[in-house]
Amino acid sequence: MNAMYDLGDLWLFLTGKLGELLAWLGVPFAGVVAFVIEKSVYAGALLVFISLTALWMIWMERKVSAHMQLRYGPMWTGGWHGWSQTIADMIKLLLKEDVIPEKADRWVHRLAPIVIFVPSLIGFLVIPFEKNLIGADLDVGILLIFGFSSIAVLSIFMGGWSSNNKYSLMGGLRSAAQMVSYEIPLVLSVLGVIMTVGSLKMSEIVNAQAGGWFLFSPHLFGFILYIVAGTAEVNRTPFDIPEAESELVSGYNTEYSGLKYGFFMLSEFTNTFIISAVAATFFMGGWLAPKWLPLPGIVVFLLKTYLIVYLLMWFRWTFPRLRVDRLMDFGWKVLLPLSFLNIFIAGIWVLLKK
Amino acid sequence: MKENPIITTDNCAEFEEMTLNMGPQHPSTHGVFHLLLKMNGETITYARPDIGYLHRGMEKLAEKRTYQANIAMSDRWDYIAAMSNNFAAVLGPEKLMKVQVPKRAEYIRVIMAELNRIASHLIFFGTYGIDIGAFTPFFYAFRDREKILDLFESVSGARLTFNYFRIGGVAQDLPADFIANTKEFIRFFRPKLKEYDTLLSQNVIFRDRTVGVGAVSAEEAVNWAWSGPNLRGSGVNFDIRKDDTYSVYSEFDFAVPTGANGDCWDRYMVRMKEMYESTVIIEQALAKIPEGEIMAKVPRVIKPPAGEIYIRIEAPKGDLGVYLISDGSVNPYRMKVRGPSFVNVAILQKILKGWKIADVVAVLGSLDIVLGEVDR
Amino acid sequence: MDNLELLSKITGKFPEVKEFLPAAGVLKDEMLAVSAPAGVILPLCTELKNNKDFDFDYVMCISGVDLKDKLQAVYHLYSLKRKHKLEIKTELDAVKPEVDSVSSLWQGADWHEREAYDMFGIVFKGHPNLTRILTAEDFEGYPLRKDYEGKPDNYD
Repeated sequence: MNAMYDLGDLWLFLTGKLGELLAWLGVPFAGVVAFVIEKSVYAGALLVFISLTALWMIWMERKVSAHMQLRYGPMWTGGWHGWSQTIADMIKLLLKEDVIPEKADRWVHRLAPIVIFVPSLIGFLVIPFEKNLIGADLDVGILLIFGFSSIAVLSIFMGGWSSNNKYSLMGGLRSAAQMVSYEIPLVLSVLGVIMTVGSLKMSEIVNAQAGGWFLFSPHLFGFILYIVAGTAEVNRTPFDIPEAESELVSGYNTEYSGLKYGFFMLSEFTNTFIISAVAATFFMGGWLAPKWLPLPGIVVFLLKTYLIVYLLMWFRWTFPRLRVDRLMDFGWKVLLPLSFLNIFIAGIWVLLKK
Repeated sequence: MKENPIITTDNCAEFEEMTLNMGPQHPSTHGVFHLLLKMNGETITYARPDIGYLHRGMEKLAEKRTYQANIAMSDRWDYIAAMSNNFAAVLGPEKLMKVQVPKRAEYIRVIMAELNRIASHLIFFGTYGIDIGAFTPFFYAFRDREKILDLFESVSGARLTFNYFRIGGVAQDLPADFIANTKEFIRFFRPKLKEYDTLLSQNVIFRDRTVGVGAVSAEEAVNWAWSGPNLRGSGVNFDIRKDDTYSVYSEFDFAVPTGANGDCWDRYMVRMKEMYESTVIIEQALAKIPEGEIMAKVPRVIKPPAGEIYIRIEAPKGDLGVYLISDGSVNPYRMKVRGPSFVNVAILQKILKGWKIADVVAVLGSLDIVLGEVDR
Repeated sequence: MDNLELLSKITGKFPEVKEFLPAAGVLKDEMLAVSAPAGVILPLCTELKNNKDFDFDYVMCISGVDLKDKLQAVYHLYSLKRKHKLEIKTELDAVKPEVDSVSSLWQGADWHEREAYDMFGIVFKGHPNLTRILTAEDFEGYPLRKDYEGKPDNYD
């Protein structure tokens, strides 16, 4: 890897220089001030990145689906292949009237989009874009992501309940059942990797794959389980039963309009990104690239992530939707035993490697 | 102070029952169809189909219009299979007037009816995919249907409401390149059927959603007067083209696919196989089509003699019957249309009980109803 | 079974059922048509369905017809097993048209009867749910009767 290209090293260099500059200027508590400035800038950059990611992913989803369906997708807005269609859509959503149903539980109704969006932002904090580009390389790393992504179910249920619409209510109930049951196989499926590495820290998990991706090891089984459970966790087809257009009109977000609907949509995409990023980190070596590939780590990481994102999109536009009771059957009777089996396999693998 | 009722396991069912009005505006009711559902959780305990939102009084209008004008009206019964409706609309007056339709016109009619059957089944295939949650088949189906519509456009000038049949024949002869184009279409279309199979029919989730769902036994299907692919899906080998033949269908050799269990999967597969059989019929018709007239000698003013007739044809949706009473004037005295969708959909009040709300969509979609025909 | 044999078997069992013969110069369908008084419809249909000689297991159509001075209910039956058809005509009083429902025999008759009730006001006794089907619940009059005059509404 050529250090010259590395964004993370540049970041480290700049923050180091910032600290020196502050010290040279004689600012009191220079270390603390440098830390605050560094983290604020990182957080700001992250926010910009998240917005751009969501915009890009919505456009990508449209293009991927369109080309799978013999269409072009947006072609006109902004010139080249309709690149600014999503921006135009966001402006439209901002200008839309914000409708709250008369009999709705107004506060819960307003709160739900925030509750779904904030945890998906927090998840980005521990995502290791590059060696030195991690918001906070916490010891609990992965646990933070899973912990906060569980809050999404609360928000969807809040949205479904407060709308005072039967379709929304059923969407909310469905998602409560679904996300609670798929959380367990999701966490268990990455447990194999955690056992091998012996840490929850994202950077250590990536570094442990310097000798080879976990994808090409018995952890492949865990990877498949993770993709299945992860698809269910972000409510994408074939597990999109909380939305289920053909049954529940639009499920939990039926009564949402304008910016609040936009938040639900954005969080769906940011959650998809997080799930994909975790897959790239845990099974595909994160920012690590082969020696012959002189690309910055962040580009390598994003390429891997979008490979998974594309896989999820491919699923979405190919598969039909499962039925709600079959979905629960699958989750509890198939996926859960298999993820225990996965832990067993990983355990043997760990023993053999010693 | 009002006391909260205590919910126990004995009375919890009544507390949980929820009434849901599915439709008339709903993404998967295929038009303005209203289903009143009562549910315990997601399980249906009571279902009542409610129709009439698209009622345009076609039968009343028919009494005020000439027989020729009624052909144009018939386009609007089942608006995605207008050629078949034309067929039913002209057969009655022709039989009353004892018109001998020229052979070429009969062949053209059969070709059109069969092409329309494929077009109608393609719409079924696409929308059924959406009902089950797969979006992509819809676009594949419409890509292929577009080619059929191009063929229709070349003969009739219209793409949806063709008004192509005439009492005594058809409006115009085939254009010069029609036969070549149709052969080209069949060559193009047959491999696509395999593509559909890999895309949707053999998908594990799709089979999981449809096999065994909404099963209707053969006796039940006959008792509810089902017809068309729905009836054949239940294992009853009955096709009006074979069993009560009309036009020149007796001259063609084709199979009548049937299902075994009468579930959504069987009804679906019958339609997929029927598309292939339709291409077989079209191929034979194109090979055998004779030269000659396309219109019989009929008077300019159609005045069938007083009398009555009941004719029926195998429309894509099933048994399309027309009961026609003529009083000798230029307008029919009474024209009752027995739309297959109207009869097929009535069974919903019985078979939905006990299934989940997702199955409601699967079963309703598998019946392949068109509200224009249900309400007329 | 050809039409003559079918007719003789039916009239043998139900002497009040007559072959329907149209007036001079009026055409008739190829299928056998019989006219039966309203009272005999239910026993006749029960026999037609359950007797293995007839085996009429399929209702093609049930239509109402307005003959100006009286109403008429027309049943078109078919046998999937024996492939024969039968048309039953029964004349009903224009003021109080009543006939027994056959929906207990053939469920397929259910909605046909509701439609005939909706459009002509023919009351099918014993029908489980005889309500308006195509028009709105508060609709007045029977639109397919010849003397029906539509009232202009907001859109006329």
